[in-house]
Amino acid sequence: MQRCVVAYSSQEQPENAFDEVVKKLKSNESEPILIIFFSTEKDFWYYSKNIKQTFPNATTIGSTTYRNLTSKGHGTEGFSAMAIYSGIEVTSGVLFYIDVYPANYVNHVKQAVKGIENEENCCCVCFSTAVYGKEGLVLDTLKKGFNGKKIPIIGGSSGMSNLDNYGIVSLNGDIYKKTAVFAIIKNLNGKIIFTRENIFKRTNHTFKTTDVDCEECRVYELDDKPAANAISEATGIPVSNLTEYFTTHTMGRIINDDPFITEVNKIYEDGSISYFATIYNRSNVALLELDDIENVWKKTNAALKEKLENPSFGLVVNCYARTRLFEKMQLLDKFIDILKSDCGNFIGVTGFGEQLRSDHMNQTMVLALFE
Amino acid sequence: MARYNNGLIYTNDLCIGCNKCISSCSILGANVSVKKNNRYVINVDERKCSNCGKCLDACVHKARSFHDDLDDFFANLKANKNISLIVDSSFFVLYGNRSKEFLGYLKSLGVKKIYSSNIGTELAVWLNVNYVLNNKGNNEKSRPYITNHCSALINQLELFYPFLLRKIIPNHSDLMCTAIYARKYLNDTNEFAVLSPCTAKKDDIKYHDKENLIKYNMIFSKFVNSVVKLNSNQVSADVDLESLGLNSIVPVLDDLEITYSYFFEPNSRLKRYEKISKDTITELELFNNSENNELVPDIAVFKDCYKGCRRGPGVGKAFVNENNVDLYYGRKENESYKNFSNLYKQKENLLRMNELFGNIKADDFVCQLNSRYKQPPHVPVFTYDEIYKEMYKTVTVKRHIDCGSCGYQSCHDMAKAIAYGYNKKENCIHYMNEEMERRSSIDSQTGLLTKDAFINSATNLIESNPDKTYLICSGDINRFKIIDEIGGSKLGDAILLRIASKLREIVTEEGLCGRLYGGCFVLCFEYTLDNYDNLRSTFRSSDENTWLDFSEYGINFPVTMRFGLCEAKAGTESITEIISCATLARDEKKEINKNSLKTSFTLFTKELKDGLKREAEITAAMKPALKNNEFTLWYQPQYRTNRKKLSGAEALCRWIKPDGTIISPGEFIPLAEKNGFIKELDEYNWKMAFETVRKWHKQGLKTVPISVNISRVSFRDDKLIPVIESLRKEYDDIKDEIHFEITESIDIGDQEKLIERVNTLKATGVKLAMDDFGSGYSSLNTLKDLHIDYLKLDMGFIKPRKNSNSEINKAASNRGEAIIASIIEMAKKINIDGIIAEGVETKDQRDFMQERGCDIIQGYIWGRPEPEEKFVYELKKEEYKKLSPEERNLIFKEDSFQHPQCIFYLSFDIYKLKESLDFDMIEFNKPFVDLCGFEESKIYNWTRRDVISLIQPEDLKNVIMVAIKNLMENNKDIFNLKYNVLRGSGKIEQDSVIIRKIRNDKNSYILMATFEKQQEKLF
Repeated sequence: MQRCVVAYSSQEQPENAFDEVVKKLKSNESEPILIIFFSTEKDFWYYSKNIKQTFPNATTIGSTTYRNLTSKGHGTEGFSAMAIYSGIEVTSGVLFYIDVYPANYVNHVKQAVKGIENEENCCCVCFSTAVYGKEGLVLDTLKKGFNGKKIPIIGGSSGMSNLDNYGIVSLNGDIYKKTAVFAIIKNLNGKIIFTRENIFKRTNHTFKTTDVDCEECRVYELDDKPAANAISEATGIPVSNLTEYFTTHTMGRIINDDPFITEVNKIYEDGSISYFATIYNRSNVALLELDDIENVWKKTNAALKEKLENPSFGLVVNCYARTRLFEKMQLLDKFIDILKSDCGNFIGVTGFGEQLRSDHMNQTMVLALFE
Repeated sequence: MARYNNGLIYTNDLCIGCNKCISSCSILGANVSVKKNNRYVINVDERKCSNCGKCLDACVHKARSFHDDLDDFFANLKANKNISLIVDSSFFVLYGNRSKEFLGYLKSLGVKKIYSSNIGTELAVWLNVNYVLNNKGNNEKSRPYITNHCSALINQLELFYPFLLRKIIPNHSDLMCTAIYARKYLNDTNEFAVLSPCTAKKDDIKYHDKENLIKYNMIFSKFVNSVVKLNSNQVSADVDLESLGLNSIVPVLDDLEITYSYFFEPNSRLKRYEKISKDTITELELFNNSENNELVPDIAVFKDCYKGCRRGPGVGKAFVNENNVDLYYGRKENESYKNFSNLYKQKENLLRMNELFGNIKADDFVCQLNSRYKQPPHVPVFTYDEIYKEMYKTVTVKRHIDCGSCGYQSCHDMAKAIAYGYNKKENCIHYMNEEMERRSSIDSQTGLLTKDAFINSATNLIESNPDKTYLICSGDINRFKIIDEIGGSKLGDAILLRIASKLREIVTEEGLCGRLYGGCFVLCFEYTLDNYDNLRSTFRSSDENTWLDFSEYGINFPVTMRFGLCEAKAGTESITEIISCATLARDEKKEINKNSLKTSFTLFTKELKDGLKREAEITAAMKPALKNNEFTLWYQPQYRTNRKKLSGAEALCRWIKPDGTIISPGEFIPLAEKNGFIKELDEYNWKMAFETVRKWHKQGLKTVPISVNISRVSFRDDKLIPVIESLRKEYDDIKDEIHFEITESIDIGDQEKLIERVNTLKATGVKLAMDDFGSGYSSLNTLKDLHIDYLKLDMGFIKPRKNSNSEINKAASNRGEAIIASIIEMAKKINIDGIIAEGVETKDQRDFMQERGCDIIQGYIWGRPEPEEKFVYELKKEEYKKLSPEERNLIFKEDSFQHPQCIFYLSFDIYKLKESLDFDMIEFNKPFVDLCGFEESKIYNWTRRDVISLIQPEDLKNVIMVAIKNLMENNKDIFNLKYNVLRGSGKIEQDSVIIRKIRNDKNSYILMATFEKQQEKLF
């Protein structure tokens, strides 16, 4: 019996795709404990409902994605799933109204935490519907619910194939909007390691936020000047061209000298800029530029190999913008190969925000590897 | 639209940012600090403000105002809209009898009906009591128990405490109950207006009046002020309905728990809470725990204002008599409870109420409360740390000052407010104090100490370590100003920061580092060999020291510094003085070191100190000396190479002080050039030269060309040409006899400029000599472009060099000779009038120059610079040499001293006598010197001295004086005086002095004294 089976079907018909995947999951001749699954929003309800019905004893957790990423293939059509059959304990829960007051459901987290024996070798996998940077509230709520227990969080905001649609998450057959679903996983076979990969590097342009509206994820002033003007002055790019400029340069909050990518959402007429993550006042932020991607991959690979030589399986959360960039640069196959080398078996979601531990960020890949 | 101040309550222009509004407000973020006209004021964020109005009372500067619908109300009343008014019951308590006048005025304007809000209160109490009694015992943990009487409270719960909303009894507020009752049970179809003391009522209407019954919300203070202005008739009116039969059981929403107690058993839990505070929330949260079910109140009454609505934020002070308010309230209270006199008949009371309100449907008054809460993001620890760091709160105690002057209860709250963007660190008084202190002690650009702070710290450091010796180093970045100007401030800043960082490393934690200004730094560290070596090696230009490489900014030469170092010990000079000494050492050879590719280190020594002191003294004495005519010209003769003819002289400035001491030109000229005095001195000398030559002419002397120097400072000065033109005009009789010398090493920028300036000068008509040709950077080729008349060559070319062996010297000398030969050859070819060899000291040199065709020799070999009298003597000698022996004899025999052309060879002594009987020596001979006991080595330095006073022995002096006085008093031309002399053999013999008058005018005499021994003429 294998501990983990990853299956992917790119068939367009949901029934066919589902059958193909389930067939592979069932071939392991054991009942899965946890199934993590992804598909585009089109047939997500179908996969969500049926996977739970097919494996009623398993915790099923999933999210819509822009593209299925797995060690068995990748594509924008079809259905992907990863089933874990042994060596884990799982509890799960839901947080509602995540854009307003997820803490109202903190008891759901507390309840889930009670379901695991202790925090050793645990992590919390969380999928949220994208809420324009408010995912931080979900992280706050989870941490509050952990009540001091050090359970690392890895999460992703749902993605979509059509940007006019909205993301959906699923837990145990139910599907939700404006909700976060989470599963606390205890790895009974060893440790869990995490990494964050950033393909952007700092430029010399660093700023201090001097007027912000945290709740709106909006920065009014950088270095006491309207935010857009400050960036324009520093780079020499006219304010009117900044939107274009931000497609190749992004911003990063500097935390302990390390940039956490914070993608620009909109530039307003008053020179303020909204982002897809909360930026606090008096924070240092820097303009970032594209690094040597393949070199970054190499470094990630080397670091992971050093930390964990033979992982059982991995969970990847890769940003939509990164995935699109790799597609554009025809690097996606290479990226998948690297991930296979990193993780062995893995499944990944492509969405609109990545979360690791206390931080919500954009244009990043976060990854959890289970021993 | 502005981001803030768009709500009901707003900040007006009177705000001074005192933060009282923040401290009075329980909501973080409702008050936001913004910068307006360069000062911080507090604005209101309507998204968070619960409109409780506490800040209206708290603001002593009257900087908070509020909006209401008063204007709309009056306008629509005037437009004949049918409006009924609901008046909060506190109105009658506050304004007593005048309340009727106010209502009368409204009636006169057309208000249809006036209701007291007591109606709604009675209804709300009845509804709440029944709700609680009907639900008691059912799931105590989630049972609602909080009453909805206070709009401010409900606002706060909806905005910030959504988890408490389900604890609120779902009935409408008193105000809404009144409106609903009037519409549904009294069939009042008019629009409703509300008059209350509560600014939060507006939100009750906005969020809970689903049927849109209430159109206008008015506040007491505004209403009263405006009615008083308008109401001239003073008609009185009563409310149309004040109570539903219970005599207004709740007068002004105070003591409501007492009201409720009439309907609950004595063991019931009736709670009263004032304000929403952390303590209140903590207590209420306890009730969520099922273990505390027995503690859950049956009913809880909240009020947000002290003493209820009669102290509401919209009450104002006009027409409110504080004493009367309590009096009215007491009376009303007594009246209210008449029908409820028996506290122990709760059931009867309830029955009576149920009977009275039998026709009321509770469902009509159900209120749906909705959360408007938005969960704020949790501020990460990292962000707090960053903010604390910026505020210099680096230690725990500084993070818990909690003084409240920022308006928040704790430093943590302030940091949180800053993180959210609600406030600025500048509003923390402790931060500002520290910032001010740092600004005066820390240089903002480099983070190093400022000068004053450095002096204080260094003084403390050195005085605290009396056993140690320290070094104070003053360092300056070479050519920093130019680098900054050329490379821009970014480069300048980068250099400053990098050097500051390096210097900080050098001094370590045990030393000090400060910035004086520009690129100037100052260091203090213990004077050990290691420390000193560390400083030197850090600035050593080498491949290892890449930190000095600024090529990334386009600077392709190493950035270097000049350091001056001075020892410092406890109890010696002040740090300020030591810094000055180090700075003087640093700049001692500034002109050389600033262009060096290596960093220089100069130690301040006693010699340097003495030298600098001397420089300072000389500099200070220059101007007064000019005024006192202490500067004079000496003349160094120039001769044709065969010495047959005196051909000219160079006039050289000499500074001779009144006591006869001479300050060397080598000392004062460079200083004068440094401080610019040389320009003044040059002009003085030029004028003196012109004047002297004119005097010689008047004396009938045959003169030779005199050359004067133009210093490099004067040469660069644009005034040069007009000054020389003016002199030539003034002395047009002798203008061609004054030549001007310029030095070829003049640093005027470039060759083109030099040529241009020389030629402009030449165009004025002067004769020009180029001094020191070959010592500067001009090529031989330049000669053709320079319109000069004379070329002066320095013998430095062929002088042996010190510390070199003879072979090297010989080779160098050969090369020098070759150069000189080339220059002379070329000069002759381009028709230069004359070539003058300067500094000729030896016969060999003279011979060499003569052989090469050099015309004129100037140098010690034939004459040193000498005073005017001596040079005049040379002039006269030159003329005398031309005479035949007969002519010379004739002149002597005539003995005509009065004759201006008197030329003589003999030495003799002459005294010039003035009124004060001062004696100036004009001439003397050797025996005279011996007789008078003068020291021959010194006597040549005497000029125009009172020689009589120096004659020894005294007897001889007396004899001369007697002879002179006799001659003068007797108006004789000659006087002979014999006197006794004691010889060394012990024999007394008789000598004589003959005084001859040579010439006299009214005040002065020229006399000649001749001494004779017996039978023997002295001379």
